Amino acid sequence: MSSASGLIEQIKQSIVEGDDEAAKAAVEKSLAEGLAPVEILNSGIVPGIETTGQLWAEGQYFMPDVILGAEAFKAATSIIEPRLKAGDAPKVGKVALGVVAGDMHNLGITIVAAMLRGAGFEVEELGIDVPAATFIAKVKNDNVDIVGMGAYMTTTMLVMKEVIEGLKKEKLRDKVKVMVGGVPLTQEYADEIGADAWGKDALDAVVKAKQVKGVS
Amino acid sequence: MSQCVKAAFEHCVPSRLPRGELWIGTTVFEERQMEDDVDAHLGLCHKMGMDLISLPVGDSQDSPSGYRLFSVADIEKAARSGLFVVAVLSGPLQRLVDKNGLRSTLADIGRDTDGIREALRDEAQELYCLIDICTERGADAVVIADDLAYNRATFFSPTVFRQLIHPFYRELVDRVHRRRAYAVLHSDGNIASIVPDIVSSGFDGLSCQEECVDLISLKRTYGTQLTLLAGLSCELLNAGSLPAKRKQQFVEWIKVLSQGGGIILSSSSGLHSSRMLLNVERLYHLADEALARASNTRPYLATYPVRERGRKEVG
Repeated sequence: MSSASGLIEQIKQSIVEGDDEAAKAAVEKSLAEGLAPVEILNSGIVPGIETTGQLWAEGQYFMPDVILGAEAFKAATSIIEPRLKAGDAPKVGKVALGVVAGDMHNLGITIVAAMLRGAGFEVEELGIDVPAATFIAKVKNDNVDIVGMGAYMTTTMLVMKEVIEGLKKEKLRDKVKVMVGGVPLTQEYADEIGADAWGKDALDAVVKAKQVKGVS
Repeated sequence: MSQCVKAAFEHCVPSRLPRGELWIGTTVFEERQMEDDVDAHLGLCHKMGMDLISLPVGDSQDSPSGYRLFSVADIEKAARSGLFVVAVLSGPLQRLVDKNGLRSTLADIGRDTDGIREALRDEAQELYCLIDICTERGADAVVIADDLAYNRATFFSPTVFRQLIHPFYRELVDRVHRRRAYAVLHSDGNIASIVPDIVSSGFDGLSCQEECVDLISLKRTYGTQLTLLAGLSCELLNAGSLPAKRKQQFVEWIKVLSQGGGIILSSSSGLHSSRMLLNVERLYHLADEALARASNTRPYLATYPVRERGRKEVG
């Protein structure tokens, strides 16, 4: 294994192992060795988070592993992103992601954001307890391709309908795709409120986001 | 104490299918222009024909989940009502999550097992005191509410559960039992992989999401050890109307779950709207009708498939 491929493997492995310090160190060493930022991103960082997601999908990884993997991914990308040239890592689309008003659960959305970034989406995290008006304003004022809403309680999932109705009222509904997810949600509920897609989990959210954007 | 709830915990033949909710949200009372206090809860429980009253206990009145927290004085008042009184306490993990957030707590579980164990021990110590106080004031059962899972699986592996959480559960259950009360665990999500460990902790009852856990299988495997607080799914509670087919499914479901007793008709989510209240009344009625009809041909509630020593009439 060459020095370059060894470093790339270290980056990937440190993300899979959820070691953010090791991930940062390996990325910095790779840059110092002259590796191109885009290569570090595409060959080390992205495969790292993809493998983490795959291990979770297979039931080998649990939430603490995925959270630490997402944190290591974030640490690595924070070093690489400022060094990428325009066009190095073209974005698949822009997603505004948030947990609806009244809901303070931040776990699912964190994982979804990391997975979407790993899949090449630009993700703006709106946080938790996001009012319907904020989602609508984001669509109105920013060039957002997808609004992603999470709800983790039966009482808060009703807010999703408010957002979709608000988008219709503002004549913005055709401008954006709406994706929903969270523990109490079902495809039936997503259909009932007029969402474009329901993400069963973080990996499914990536698949559906690509589908609604028309990319494979 | 409502004897039919006690019968459910003792796996004996109850006089009727016991019922009650772990949480009734503040919005239910707001919609009725009522104060969310223990009197309102008692009044609603009596009006709905519930056999138990549950009071989430905490230092402040506020809870981020849409229901208020009560004081131990409220437990004492509820204990004079004749209803079976359940004190709902956040479990050791939930208490950490409430302080630090779920993401941060799970990350700590991933990187600092010893630190988390110490933190859980501190929370458990406070819980022991709360258990003592609530049972002294008249709680008949204590629910340890710890969300251990999401819709797909437990947050952490069963091995981590056994190492970190299970030892504290055993101690908490022992404490409840020493106070001659029943111990119930509530968790959202798919906890199927750790049910054997939950049973081995000694819990008398389990409240979990039927959308995530196969309750029929649970009933068949652990029906003699665990009383299930179940039967009312979120979907049923939120339904605008119930088609005949769905009603029939519910009835069949209840017939299976109620065989041999050991069930308290309840949701895992609690009630948070007038629609839910209306649906609960309809579902109680459906369940009672179905079991009354069924008992003419087959004594559902009195049929104990596995535990002979439970065959005694209570209440």
